[in-house]
Amino acid sequence: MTNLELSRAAHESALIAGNGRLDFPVETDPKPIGALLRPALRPALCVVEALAFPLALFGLWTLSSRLGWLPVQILPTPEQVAATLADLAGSGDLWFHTSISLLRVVQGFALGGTAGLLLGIAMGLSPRVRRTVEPLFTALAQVPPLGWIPVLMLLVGIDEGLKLLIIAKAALVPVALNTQKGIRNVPDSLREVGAVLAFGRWATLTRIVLPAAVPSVFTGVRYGLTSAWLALVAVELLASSEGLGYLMVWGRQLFQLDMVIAAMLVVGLVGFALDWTLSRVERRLQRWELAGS
Amino acid sequence: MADTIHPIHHPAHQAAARGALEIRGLTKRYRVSGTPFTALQDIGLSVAPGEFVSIVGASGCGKSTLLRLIVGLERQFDGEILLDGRPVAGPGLDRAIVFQEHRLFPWLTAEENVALGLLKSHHPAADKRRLVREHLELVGLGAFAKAYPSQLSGGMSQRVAIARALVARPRILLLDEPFGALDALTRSHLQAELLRIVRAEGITAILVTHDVEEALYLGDRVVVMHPRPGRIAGIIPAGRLPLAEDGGAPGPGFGHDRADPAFIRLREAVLAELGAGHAQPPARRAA
Amino acid sequence: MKPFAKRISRALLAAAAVLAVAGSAVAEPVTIRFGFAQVGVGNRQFGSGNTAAILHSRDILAEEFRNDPDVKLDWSFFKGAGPAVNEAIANGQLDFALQGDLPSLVGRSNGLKTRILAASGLRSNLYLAVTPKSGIQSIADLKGRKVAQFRGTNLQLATDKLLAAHGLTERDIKFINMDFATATAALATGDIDAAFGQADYLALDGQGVARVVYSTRGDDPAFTRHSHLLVTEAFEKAHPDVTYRVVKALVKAAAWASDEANREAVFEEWAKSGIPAETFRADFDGQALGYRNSPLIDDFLVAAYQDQAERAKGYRLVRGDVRIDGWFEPAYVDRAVAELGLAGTWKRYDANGHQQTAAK
Repeated sequence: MTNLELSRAAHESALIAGNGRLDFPVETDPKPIGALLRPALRPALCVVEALAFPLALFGLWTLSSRLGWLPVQILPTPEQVAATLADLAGSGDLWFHTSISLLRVVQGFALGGTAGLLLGIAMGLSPRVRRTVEPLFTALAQVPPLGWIPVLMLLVGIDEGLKLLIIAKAALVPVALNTQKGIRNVPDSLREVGAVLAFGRWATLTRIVLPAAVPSVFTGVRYGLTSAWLALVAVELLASSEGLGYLMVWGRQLFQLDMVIAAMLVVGLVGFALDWTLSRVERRLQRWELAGS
Repeated sequence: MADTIHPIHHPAHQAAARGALEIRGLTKRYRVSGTPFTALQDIGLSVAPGEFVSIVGASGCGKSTLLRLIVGLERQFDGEILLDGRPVAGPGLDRAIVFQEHRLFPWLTAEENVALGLLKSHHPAADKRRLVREHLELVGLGAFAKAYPSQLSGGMSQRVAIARALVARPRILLLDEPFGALDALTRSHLQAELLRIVRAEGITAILVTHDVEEALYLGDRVVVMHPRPGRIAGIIPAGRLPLAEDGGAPGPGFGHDRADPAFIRLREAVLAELGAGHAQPPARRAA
Repeated sequence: MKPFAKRISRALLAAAAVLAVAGSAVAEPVTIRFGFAQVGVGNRQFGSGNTAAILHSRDILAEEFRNDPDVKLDWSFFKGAGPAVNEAIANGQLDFALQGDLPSLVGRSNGLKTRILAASGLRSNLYLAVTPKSGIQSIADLKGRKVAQFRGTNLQLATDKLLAAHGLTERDIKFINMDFATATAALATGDIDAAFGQADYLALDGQGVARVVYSTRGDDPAFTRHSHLLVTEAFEKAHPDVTYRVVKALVKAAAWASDEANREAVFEEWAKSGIPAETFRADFDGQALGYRNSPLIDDFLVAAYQDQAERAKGYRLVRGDVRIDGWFEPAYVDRAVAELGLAGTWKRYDANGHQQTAAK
């Protein structure tokens, strides 16, 4: 009985538009010709746009060091920083400190991200959990990582435990808040579909609520990673004998601002790389969203 | 809920014996910011197995509420809703609904969306796969099983929604202005398709619409509702209208002939009935 | 021979400048921006343990410029100690500074243009405080332990020298960078096993929070630290007269702080910083005030800085060689000592730390 419609399907499949969108012919607005050109040019344009600001900043830096706008002790020249980076890389110090910082972030983020996810799900699903936990959670979330250090120092000392907790807390807050938001913002229209299809609680959670919350959760995860990374540097600045944050302290205490800037560059690059990796994962998980655009 | 599951194979003529809907003395009241409000008052309606009933009415006449009550999304009401003699209490796979928006899950492909309709049915996995494939083909989208909703046009998405509604073989299909968001040409395509599909499945159908022509084209009967409180103003039989023809041959996929004088007379009758419930006749909008 | 001749000629030149302007009043408005590489307990705006602190707290500098309404004084105290002072100098925010040996060497190695005008605190002791439960008894026990250190201050260099004398390096110890206030708190909570610090750890010992198991008192003076008064080259060049009068005021302060009759008064003066006088009493026990508070730039001081520079390079605290030549400018302090009739108040020491019998 389905043979009747095969011709229609064949007809439609012949009309897959060049931009990847499958369209029923009578329902589309005609695409401007420019739209056909853009996919080819877009990556190049993106790179140019993304590099414009850093390049301008670098130019300003070079200019400043040439013209002596700032004392070279405060803002070292790009050459000095490059030499310091090469020096740090050559001696193995750079990798040593970077790997320690990365390990801390990964561990702290895994801890805080998982806790944040669970807490966010609980707050998103249960009004009771939300009522009991949210006020305190919101209040505590306002306290910046450094504010926690004295209290946590008393509880866990100043070793790795402190660093992990600070990083975990920094990651937990955005993950929990965004997860909660994502879950609470699942459209009623989709929940109703689940109800009509006789979904139970579990099916509703796994088939509707969680998938619908994924974009929001990912926003939280990316924020969480960023704030974990920031917290790491803050906590390493305070009490540490290794890591990129420590490298900055060391550089500053010994008045080697080139080392501070070198460490800043590495921190920025690693942070960017982490965020970029997450965005790739996000795109894979949400390929359905991009499929049409 | 197990009793609502149909056998995998059931020819259309057998299914036609099921899906009888009986509504008696149905009244639905809400409280809107403290003030009681009667959405539906004393609705009585019998729908025969395999029958296609259209419901028209102005906004606020409670026609969508009626569908939500039948499908089980609203559980508080006075009166009786019986499907094949059993009272309705909450959603079940014996009833399915298609909304104005397709409401597909954007993160699932067309076939995964359709398969969700079978999540709570107890078929073996292989049967489920076959049913999904069959229903995608039924709505003409066999080739788009792997496409995401964002890759489908509005009309195609609505077909997937219809496939999802039908895949668990419900006894009754409820349609809440399913083509309201589509352009005119797509809408008329899909109207014909819907009729073909419903006939092929031998399923009872209730369609809620603003569009009097659509109601008459598809319906065996047209129920006209009036608002405040929502009530049935009249029921107009359209089953004897001549069928539209395609290439000279009347077929099961075609509704009533819109150009036929009898069709036009009935349309005027429906519009008159609608207008009676309104200070300003809504006729122009429906026509 | 050549650098030596150059040094003498420079000194003469500076002396001539000093003579030319001595006694004359200041003509144009000038603000003397004076920075301390230290701050009192709880951010009290007082220094301690050096003669510059006396210069400030007893208003000796203010007195010097009492009749010069065009001269304003601006005092800053840096919690970030020597490293923070370096940043302020680089940013052109300071003219004079009290700073320790290592941070100044670091600053000079990075191209800060400064002159050392006078000593302001010699042979300051280094203290090692340990928590009672750590069980640490000596420097050798520090191996592998968690120890607080304020990096980049002159304590770091002294610490490194001390460790080297015990066959240890920084890598043998788990050093954690902390400022003095944080280290004190961490000792109290037991988060660290030990901390290198200053005389104020004696107070912790008194409270039973920590025990001082080692200090450089009675040990080799080479492990001690020094601090000095420095001026930026730019300020010195623009205002040699003002520079001289600042040094003169410091010499007055040093003379007061070296008079044994004032012993308790000096400690009370420093106690304005919040560190109890008792601490200084213990720190100075058995030592003449003049031994620590001499302003003189003698061979001992120059040689000590030369040695610090080489060691700092060896410990990778500075990059490259730090040129000591031309950094010290003794003309001002020598002139002030002569003018104030204080010759003979302080003893001069040779490069090996022995008292010089022949003057000059």
